Amino acid sequence: MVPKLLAPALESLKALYRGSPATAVAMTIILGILMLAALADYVAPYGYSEINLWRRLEPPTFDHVLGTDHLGRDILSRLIHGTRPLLYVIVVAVLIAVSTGTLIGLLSGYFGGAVDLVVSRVIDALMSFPAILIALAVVATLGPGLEKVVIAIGIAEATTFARLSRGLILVEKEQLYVLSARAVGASSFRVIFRHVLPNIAGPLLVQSTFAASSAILWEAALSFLGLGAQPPTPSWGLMLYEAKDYMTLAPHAMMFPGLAIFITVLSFNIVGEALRDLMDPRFRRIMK
Amino acid sequence: MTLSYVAYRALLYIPTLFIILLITFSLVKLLPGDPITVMYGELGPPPEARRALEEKLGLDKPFAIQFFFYAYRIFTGDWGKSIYTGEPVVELVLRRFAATLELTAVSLAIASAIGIALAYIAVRRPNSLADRLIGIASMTSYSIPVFWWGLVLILIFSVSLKLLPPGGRGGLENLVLPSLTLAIVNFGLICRVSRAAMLEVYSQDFVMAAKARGLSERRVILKYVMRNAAIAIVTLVGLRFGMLMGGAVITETVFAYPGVGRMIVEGIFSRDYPIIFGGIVFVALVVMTVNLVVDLIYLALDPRVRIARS
Repeated sequence: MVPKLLAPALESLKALYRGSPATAVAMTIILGILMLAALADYVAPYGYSEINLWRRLEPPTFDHVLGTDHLGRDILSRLIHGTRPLLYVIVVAVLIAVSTGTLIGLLSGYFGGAVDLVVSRVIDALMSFPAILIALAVVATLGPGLEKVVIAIGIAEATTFARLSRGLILVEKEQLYVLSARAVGASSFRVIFRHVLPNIAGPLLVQSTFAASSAILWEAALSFLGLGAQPPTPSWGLMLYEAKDYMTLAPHAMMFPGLAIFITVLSFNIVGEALRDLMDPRFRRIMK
Repeated sequence: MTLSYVAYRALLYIPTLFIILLITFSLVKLLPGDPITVMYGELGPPPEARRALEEKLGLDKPFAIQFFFYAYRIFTGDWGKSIYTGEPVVELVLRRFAATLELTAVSLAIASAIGIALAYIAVRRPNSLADRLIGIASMTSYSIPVFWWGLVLILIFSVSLKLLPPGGRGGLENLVLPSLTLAIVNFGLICRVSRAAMLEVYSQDFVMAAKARGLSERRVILKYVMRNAAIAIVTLVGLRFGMLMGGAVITETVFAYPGVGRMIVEGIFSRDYPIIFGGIVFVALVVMTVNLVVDLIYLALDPRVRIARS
């Protein structure tokens, strides 16, 4: 069962990797982040909260390749350890967004009626509104912290998935395979999750990649406002927040976390684009 | 016809506004700690004083009553006063809004100019080196963390070159860095959408017919393609404009710029309900108005919409 499912996925990953040099580099960076997160304790030269007040705000040197921060902590090590909160944010926020958003969108689109009317008005209302304010309101309600930020991002991003999956199922439910599934007596639950969901997985996957890149930016932004991760978590956004007070003394402390966020977001966006091209039927036909 | 269409669109926004009011009101009610505790500190005021204050601020009424009371006041233009400074929320919001509007308008104008110009260059030779470089530039644009980019600009232009002030509001020189920050982060999306819209129009028959008649490439793009792609571009710029109304909060924070977004964040930190409510509802109203204006621009731009409506 598993190899049967994994084989096409692996095949498309390969196709993706061969797609363009930029995609290959971006995929390598993401893979690198995964490996750094797994091996952080072995790869990082120092611990992420190892304080050395004698060596504060030092520019890059041989033993501190990216320099040190305002507490003399090694920035490279903090960046490496920071891949863990980063992945935590990506995985949990995207899971919350995909599961709640898709569930709401699918049910609302499939059953239609008054519920659909209300749901789509609510989605419209939320989407016409700067998402950062929704996230801020959620964080303010729940209090600061990485877990709360993740929930806030999940909720803010869920609207995109709700709208996307609702639009997709509106098209799919008129398709012959859905009608025939219903004709042989499949329950609505079965039709939605067993028949329609696999058919719309592609666009949802593409959207998840973009959601991952915005989750990174959100977390960093909220941490930058002091509402996200709390010290001494090596969150990249928090590192930037702490470094901004010393930016005239030690610009490197602010540059490297920012660059790390930038490169990671860029990589996710590049992979997302390539994935979308791959999933797009017009492109897929060309590739076969 | 047009007037009834405007009225119809405007009516559609009423449930949206109601939903936003309900959501924000519920969220703020869920905030830990009430404004009275915040005003008096952990111990709070004596019970009688607390009861009097609750009555004065309307905090003793049931949720639904408080909500409808609030909605009523919003629609009648009475937005209350800041719990701390006592300043009328409407005045405060309007003053902050002027700042945000200035920042948003300038930065979106720059972003649109760069984005559309680059899209024009890209469309003239699709898949050329220039097109691909522009593609990379746009993607870079919306991958940049805005707070970091703002700090980098401060570092370069304020700290190193000492050319521009690092923040605040006042003259034109205060506006340069924040609007450049927002422009750089926003031009990419505008460029991409413009390029896609223009390419789609480009492959249509009437464009080929225009070219067959011997019109120059430049003329075809400017006169035929741009005009037809304008709808998608206007939609996007309109949406971005609405989003930036409150979404510029990070940039406003970096540059200590006294805008609406910053005001809402300050309100959240101090649990100043009227400020949070006022700010969010105001942003919602502005976003809806912008959306309505975008709808009306469709009418002006596209005769097909006009005919379909009548």
